[in-house]
Amino acid sequence: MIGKRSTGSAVFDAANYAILTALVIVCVYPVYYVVAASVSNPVALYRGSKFLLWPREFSLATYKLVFQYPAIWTGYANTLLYVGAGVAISLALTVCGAFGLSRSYLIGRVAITMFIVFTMYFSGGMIPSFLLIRSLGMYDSRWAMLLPGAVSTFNLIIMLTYFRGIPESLEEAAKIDGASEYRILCTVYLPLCAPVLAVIALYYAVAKWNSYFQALIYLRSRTSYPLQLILREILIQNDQSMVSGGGAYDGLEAYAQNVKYASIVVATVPILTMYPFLQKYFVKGIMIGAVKG
Amino acid sequence: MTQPAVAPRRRSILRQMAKHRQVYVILLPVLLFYLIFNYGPMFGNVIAFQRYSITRGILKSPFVGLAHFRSFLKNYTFWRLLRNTVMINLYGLIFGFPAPIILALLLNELRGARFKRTVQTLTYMPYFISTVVVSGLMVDFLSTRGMINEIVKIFGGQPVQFLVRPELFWGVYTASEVWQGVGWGSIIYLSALSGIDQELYEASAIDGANRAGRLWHVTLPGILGTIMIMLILRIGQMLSLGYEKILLIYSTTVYSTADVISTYVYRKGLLDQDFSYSTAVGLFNSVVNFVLLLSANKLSRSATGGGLW
Amino acid sequence: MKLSRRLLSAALSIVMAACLFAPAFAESEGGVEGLPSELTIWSELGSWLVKAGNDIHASVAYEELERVTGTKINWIHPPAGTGVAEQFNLMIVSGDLPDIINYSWMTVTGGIQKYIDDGVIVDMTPYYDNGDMPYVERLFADLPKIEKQVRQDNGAIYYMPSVRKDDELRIWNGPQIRVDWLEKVGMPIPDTVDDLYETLKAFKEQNVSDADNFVPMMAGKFRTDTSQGLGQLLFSFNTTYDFLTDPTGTTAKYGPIEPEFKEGAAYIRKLVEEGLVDPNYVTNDRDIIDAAMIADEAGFMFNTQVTKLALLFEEHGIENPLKPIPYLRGPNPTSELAPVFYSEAGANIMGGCLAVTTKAKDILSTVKWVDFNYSPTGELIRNYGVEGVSYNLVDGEPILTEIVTNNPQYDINTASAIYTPAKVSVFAGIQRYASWKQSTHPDGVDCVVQYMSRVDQSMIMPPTSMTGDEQAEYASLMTDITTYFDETIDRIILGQLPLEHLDAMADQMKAMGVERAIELKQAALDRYNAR
Repeated sequence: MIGKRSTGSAVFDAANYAILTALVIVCVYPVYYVVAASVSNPVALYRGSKFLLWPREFSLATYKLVFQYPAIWTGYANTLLYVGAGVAISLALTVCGAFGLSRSYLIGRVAITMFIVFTMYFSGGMIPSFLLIRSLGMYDSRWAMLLPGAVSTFNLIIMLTYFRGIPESLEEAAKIDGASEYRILCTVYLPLCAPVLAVIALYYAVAKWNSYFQALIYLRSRTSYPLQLILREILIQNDQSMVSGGGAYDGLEAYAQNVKYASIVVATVPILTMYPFLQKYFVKGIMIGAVKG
Repeated sequence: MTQPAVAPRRRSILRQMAKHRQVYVILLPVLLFYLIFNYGPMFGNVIAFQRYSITRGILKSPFVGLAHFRSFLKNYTFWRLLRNTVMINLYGLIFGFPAPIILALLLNELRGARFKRTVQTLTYMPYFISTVVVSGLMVDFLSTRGMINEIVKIFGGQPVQFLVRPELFWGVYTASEVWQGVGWGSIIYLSALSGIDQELYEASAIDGANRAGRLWHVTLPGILGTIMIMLILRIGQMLSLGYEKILLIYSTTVYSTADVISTYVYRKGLLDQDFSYSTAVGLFNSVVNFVLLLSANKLSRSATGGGLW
Repeated sequence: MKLSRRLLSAALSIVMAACLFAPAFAESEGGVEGLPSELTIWSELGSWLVKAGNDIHASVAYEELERVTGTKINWIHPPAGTGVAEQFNLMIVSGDLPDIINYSWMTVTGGIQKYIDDGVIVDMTPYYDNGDMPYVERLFADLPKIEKQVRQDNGAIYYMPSVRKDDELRIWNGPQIRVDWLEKVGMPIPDTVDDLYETLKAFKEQNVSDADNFVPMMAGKFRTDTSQGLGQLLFSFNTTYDFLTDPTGTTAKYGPIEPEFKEGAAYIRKLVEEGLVDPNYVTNDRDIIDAAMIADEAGFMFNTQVTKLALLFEEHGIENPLKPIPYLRGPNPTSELAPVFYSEAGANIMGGCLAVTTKAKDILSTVKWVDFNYSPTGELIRNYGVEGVSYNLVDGEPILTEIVTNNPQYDINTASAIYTPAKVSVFAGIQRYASWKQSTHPDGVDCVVQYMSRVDQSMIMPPTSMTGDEQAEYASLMTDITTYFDETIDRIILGQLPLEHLDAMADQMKAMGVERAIELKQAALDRYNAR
């Protein structure tokens, strides 16, 4: 990287900066737009151009409406539960699986790995899955949000690769001290893999925070719906009108469009703010996975 | 002669297992999980060969053999579904797959660490936005009165009906996938890039290679392994991607290009109550998927000498 | 000591308050005899109540019903909107059934008979014949047409629907136009579709609006029966995008393959081609359309009532310029009337219907609870809520209070959902026009008056029913045919396919078996007429 810079190189640098700046704008503007629109006066937004550089007639009226919406609160509480408990269960299972598979003296290791990897490419259908959940008695239970899909094979493999990279000499010392496998896992492995744990926790958390399909199929009590399902009600309108609004009904939702934007902000900001805190682990964690993988 | 030879070995296996029994205890919950939640539904696929009836259940429903598969192959939507599924995935492969690699390479060429970090953080952002929200925003932004057409008009263009014109669907869908995944996808390549030995760069600089030469002879070979693995993983998922988003953004007008096998499975199963038929279509999809993966792996092995296994 | 006295006085005051709001009905002492003490009911929550709570308990009226009947209800609510059908089907597969399912049983996938045959729901006829449903009996005696609509071809009663006792409630969707712009271009209220064409053209040519995105007519998805669908323009041509009958109501026809359809489609295509209709109608939802109307971006549409827009205009300090007009007559009108084909306009029953499942703990008392919903008390609670809270009796007539008509916290529909759910609820029962009128913006009431003024309902397909096998065959034919229709018609209207493609479309539909579907529908219609 030292030495003289040719003109071609300088042109390339300029173009590179331009391209990346454009990309940043493309990635950020829609998000910014949603925030700006959500704090605009809904009536002003209705009437003006849909292109915004700044909020139009700043107003927090919509947020007041959104926070009145009871389903937002129960949805929030449920999502926090599903993310919290779900990530804990998923991490525990993933760590156990990866640790077990990383043991060289495990009998049938190749067969077990195949058994697990096969599920990445071949899966049961939607209806059979539903029938299974029902016969396990988990239909409409919160467990249906926590257990099915708790282990992502992809994450398990990342973790496994990481464990395999840990030198055996480290655990030899512990073994001489007579440590059990549990102790080795907890005192030798886990402390060493904080970065990869953080990465995988984030993977799981994002997936759980954003999932709606599982809830749509396995839950039927409104009180256990996660936030995304409520958001779907607000954002994606019903056009089939299965049971229409009970007859002579007249619409009155002046702020509908703005409610959409405000609820997006409310539902997305928490997960967006998680990333910067985990970022420092991130590059490290992924790096090891990538290099070894 | 064989008897005495096997017996001690079996005994030694058992002894070894007993010695490390804790490992098996640790592994057991995970294996149970896979057995129940991943293999359980696979056995449920048996209803694809039945005329499943709610009242009779899996055990008592009559078998109809391959009738559902035959009727799917004969259905007027079959070729269309297959084409759309393959095309949307091909678009993803051609545009979506290289995008994060290019982004990683561009970022790698940056000199300022601060700018690099800012670009990284900001391009990751879309990844955190849920499918539901992205779909809602697409419908909103892409309408002729939406934000994007407003910008098109500022530049003097005519508004485009992005989500209404069947010929645009593949492109619009792929663009949204790239938008959401490009930054995030680049992380893995960036880490691979950071693992390249700096001495190689210095050596090639001494050899008089320019930036393009370094890119070609050092950088790309350095991350080729990662690229190949990601490619095979991607091909293995060819027919099973992203129907949740399609379900939320498609409309009957664009069925001709937007309806894919998995959305069809969804409609047949959950809306039309055709449980067995829907499962048969899903199973068909899985099998094709698996065959694709096997071929990709074989191809990769013969081309580069390495594959997933 | 001090604390317990305070507790005592608190308890006393609660008792006193309870006495003050004493039950308004004689039955209420410990509930109505013969009704169950507890029920589990699966029902959509409805888009308005969602804003006030997570289940129907947020509705004061349903709380009142619980109190009066003495039946405690555990509600199960699927997600609002597109998830309802999926959730219903999953519940059926799961076999995990509540006591009562409130669902659109009239149009259920596979036909209602299948659910009887599969042992999902109970045939209520024996209970009716046995005199266990006295209120329904009285309703049928008062209004025989409702009995005809509710009973199946075989005379059975499988569900009890939402009943609109007054015919005014059947008509609530129709054309609305900016009268201020009519004045501006100096034209009268359009009477026929040709007038409409001229008017829209004048709107466009004379630039009645200075909005950038101006387009004379806004519309939504072609085949949406209930709101702003573009396909409603077909009605004036004596045709529709679905099944209909001839004017005598005896012959079943399928609109898209009839010759009139071509004329109607050609007209709509012309409007789109000349830029008189928003070409984005395919993805427009209600919010987008309303936003455009408010922003002066369009001057004509089909719509359900006008209250939302009226209030939005008022918020701008503008008197609502958007007024309902009578249904448009065809290019060569033969009578003063204009036909409509809203399936809901063809019957007094619609929407959510109550069916008792075979898993009900006690079928007899559950049937009785269903019956009670159709009692005068049930009707009063559903339409007016609680006396002294949401209504007062003035000269013997219930009059809604301000808590409904001018609620400080909620918009009027949410307030209705809480206090007078008949107006907006999806839960079955009886609905009255007198109550509806009181909680509706004057412009909304005007819609009913205008639309009623010349409506021709003679060609609407009535709510027929089919046997299980017929329904299965019909459904397997029609799901493919309607999907094919939906995706083809828009491409023709938008000019992606030539108009002549309509013939190819009709041929394709015939190849897909539409004629067989018509036969099945004809048989069902014959049986309906023979009821």
